[in-house]
Amino acid sequence: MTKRTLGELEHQVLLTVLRLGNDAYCAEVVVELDERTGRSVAAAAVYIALRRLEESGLVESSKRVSEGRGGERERRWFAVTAAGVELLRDSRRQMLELWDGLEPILADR
Amino acid sequence: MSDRDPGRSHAGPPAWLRRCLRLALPDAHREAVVPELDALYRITRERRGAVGAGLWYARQIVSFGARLRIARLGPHPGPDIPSGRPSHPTFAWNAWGRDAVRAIRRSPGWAAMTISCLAIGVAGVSVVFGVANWVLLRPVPGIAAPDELVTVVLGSTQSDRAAWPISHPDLLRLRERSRVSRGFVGTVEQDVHFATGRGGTAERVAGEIVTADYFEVLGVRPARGRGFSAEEEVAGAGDVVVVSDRLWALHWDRDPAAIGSIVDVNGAPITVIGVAPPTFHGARLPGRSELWFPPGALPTLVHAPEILQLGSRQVWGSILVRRADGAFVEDVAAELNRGMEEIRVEQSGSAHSFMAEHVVFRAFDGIGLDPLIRAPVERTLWLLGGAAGFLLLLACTNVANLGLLRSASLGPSIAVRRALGAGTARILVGRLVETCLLGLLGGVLGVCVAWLAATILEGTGLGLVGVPLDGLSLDGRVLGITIGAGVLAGALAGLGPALATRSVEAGAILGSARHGDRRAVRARGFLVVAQNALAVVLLVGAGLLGRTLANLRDVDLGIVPENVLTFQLKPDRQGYEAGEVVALMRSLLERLRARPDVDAATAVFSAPYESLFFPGVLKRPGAEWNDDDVRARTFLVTGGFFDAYGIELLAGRDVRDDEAFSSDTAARRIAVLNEAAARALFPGERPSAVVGRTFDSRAAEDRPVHVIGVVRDARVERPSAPPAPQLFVPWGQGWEVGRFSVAVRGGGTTAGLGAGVYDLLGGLDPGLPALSMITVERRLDELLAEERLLAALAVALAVLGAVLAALGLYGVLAYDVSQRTREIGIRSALGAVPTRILALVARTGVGLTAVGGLIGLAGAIYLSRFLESRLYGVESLDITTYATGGIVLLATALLATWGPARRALRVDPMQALRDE
Repeated sequence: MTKRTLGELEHQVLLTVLRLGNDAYCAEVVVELDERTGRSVAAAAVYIALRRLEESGLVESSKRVSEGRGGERERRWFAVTAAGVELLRDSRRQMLELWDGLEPILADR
Repeated sequence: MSDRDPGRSHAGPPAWLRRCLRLALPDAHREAVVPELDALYRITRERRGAVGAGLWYARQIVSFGARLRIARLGPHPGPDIPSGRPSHPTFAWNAWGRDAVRAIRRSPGWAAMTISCLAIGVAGVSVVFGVANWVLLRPVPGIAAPDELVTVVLGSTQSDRAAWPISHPDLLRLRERSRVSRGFVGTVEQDVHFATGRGGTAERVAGEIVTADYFEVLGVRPARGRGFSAEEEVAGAGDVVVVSDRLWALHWDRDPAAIGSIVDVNGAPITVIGVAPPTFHGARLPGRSELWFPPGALPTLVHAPEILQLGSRQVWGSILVRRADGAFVEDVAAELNRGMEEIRVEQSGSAHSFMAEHVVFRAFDGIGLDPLIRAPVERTLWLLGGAAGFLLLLACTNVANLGLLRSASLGPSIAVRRALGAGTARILVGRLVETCLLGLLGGVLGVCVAWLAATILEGTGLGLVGVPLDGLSLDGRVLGITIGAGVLAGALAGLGPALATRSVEAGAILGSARHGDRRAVRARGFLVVAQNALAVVLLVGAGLLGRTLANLRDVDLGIVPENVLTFQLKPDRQGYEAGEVVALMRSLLERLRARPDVDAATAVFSAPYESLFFPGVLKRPGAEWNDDDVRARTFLVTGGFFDAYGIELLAGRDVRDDEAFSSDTAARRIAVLNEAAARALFPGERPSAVVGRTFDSRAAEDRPVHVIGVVRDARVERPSAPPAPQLFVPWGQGWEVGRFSVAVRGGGTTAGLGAGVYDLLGGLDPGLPALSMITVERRLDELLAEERLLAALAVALAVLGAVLAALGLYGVLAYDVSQRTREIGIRSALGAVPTRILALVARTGVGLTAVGGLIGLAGAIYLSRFLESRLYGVESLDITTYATGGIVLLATALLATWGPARRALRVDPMQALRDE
């Protein structure tokens, strides 16, 4: 796959999936993002982001049966692939490079 | 993590919301999204409560529906997608709606044409239905449970139209014996002279005499004060009145102190005891009552103390009954007729009148428009509704035609969609959604057009059988019907063209699809023929009605209507005795004639174009009274009558004032005859030979009447009624009448005359208002209001019909030319002269129009029978009108051919050939 850059939401979603133990379903990602970032994201946007990431091979999904009210139902669980982890690592390095030496300036203002 | 696991707590979203979500989601995402949103719903519900969560869920439906469509995600790539389920065709309305909007935006010309055609078609239906709704269906304001009410019309076995009132004692007996009613009310209209202070300037106000429980039976609570009590039905005990909200506001400025104040009605003091609620104006439509009196007030109002007693005048003109449970309208009529029969037996041989012997009750469900004028109004509206239906049909054929053209131009794209696997149903539904959407837009635009038309109609002062259209409004019912008709018309008109796309094959390639298939071409031709046929029917109908109106306007009335002002005076209401009436008449005429702007003034009972009149029965001297006697409308006149109305004196002389005002009963009886009366009494004799002869009149008893003059025939009832025998008798030699009309012929205009009359009357008796003041010209216009309405609407519908037909033809020809560019190019390259090319295009247009026109003319000949009763001075099979209709249609067709023909002429042969 060619070099792919991450959108902000995609970035956040990817990190959240990783944080949730590489074992997350969509609703959980929405709630976690909500609580961590303090801003509410549209569930549909998260769903679409997950699907785009999946299309790009950065996450993979599988179906499992979960138990809920009204009996068993199939839900889709997501995990970050090796490529996803690689991209995150890349992105983090770039970010840190860019941030290097800027903290004092921000602190001053 | 289990503490946050949303799958365990609380119930999911309401089932209907979840169904909405499933509908909104594209197929590929349904199974994945629903459980996730269920989980999030539970969390949201814990935080925001059920309502908040419901709202949030609803927002998610929109959000997911929209975003997933925009995102255009592919199917899940994962290995474990259940693939066994076959995909079924789902009706994704939103997707179709989007496609339809896109299609409409892509061809705005076609869409605009379709929408305007539908709008025109629907607007006609809307206006006619609006008028029907206003005149027939509108509920009477302020009345409780109107369905239980029954209007009883009092007629007679002697005549089927005349109102035939019953006496007060008879009404009381019928009311007492009524078993099928929970409420029983007698009413009679009674216009009065009304002034708020004693001796103040009076105005004419429409009132009603009603039995005491009138307000209770109708379920109307007086807004102020009270209604009537049973004691107030007794003569002398009921000099009270309930006034309308309008009068209360006008004269008392809504001051509660109005209750208990004394007003002057017909010169007598009456106490105000209540104010009716704001919208209430009686149980009739159009409601105009402003005052309600109990029976006890009647003797005072008409200056006849004995009127409520047996053997006196007949009082009650109509009865309203609130049916008891389980009783039908037929029971009401049957019971009343039975009751009247019993009364006749009990009263036989006593003072019971001729009228009571012949009264017959007819009951009609509901209240509102007078049941007797309902039927003719309904017939008129059916006629107009038929014409509007024709117009809508025309619009539909036009839309269908446009749809066929579009189907042809869509051929390639449909072929592509077919190739991509779209099923027939899918394509069909798509096209139908398109036309329904256009129908909806057409309906909305039609409402705007109808609203405009209704506003214009309202301003014209046209009316339908005396029901004025002012206040005409299009309510929710009309709007619903209009928009519904638009959608339905769109759907119906779109069905054919949609089916036509069925035949487009997946394999059809661009080139071959362009020539369209033969069936569609034939269908388009057929539609144009149908349109032209419909348009001709409308044109002929409008022509016949228009000529009727023109004939009625041009008819020789025998009078000169310009510059004549008429008004009525009813001094008997104010208690004038016969001698006082004559004195008043005399001084009024003297003062009027003294004015420099008055050429002639006369007093008459009853004036031309008033509906109430005396029928006189005449015979030749020496003959026996029998059925062949001459019946003549009798006018009681003073001097100057023929001058005032401009009726030509053919022989002899006019009645003189001294003869009119003489009370000498022994004087020689004299009369002026019109030609028709002279012909009937003295057949074959010249007018000059008739003067000096005598005849007998029932009214003059045993004394011969001398003819002193003969005048030209004049139409004095309606412009359409041919002159019947008329008899003009000096006032003093006729019946004793307490009211009269005055006609004044002005020298220049009638503008200043009205004010002058008011001044004069104010000086004579301020309590005596001039009633129904109107110029004769205006009165004639009023009499023609229905003909004008009919003609105006028919012409409007016909013009729109012709325009629609022309548009349809234009569309077909324009398409034809664009398809035959190559042929035309080759022809002109081979040396065809422009006229030949013009003929090529025109031949199609004229041919289709001619066939349609001929079919239409045949249809018009058949349908014209329904118009027959409304025509005047023109045959229903009038050749000229039919020919004109055909010519107008042909002319519009040529106009429609003009554009496409010019385009054909401009075809550059080189260009056309290169394009191929």
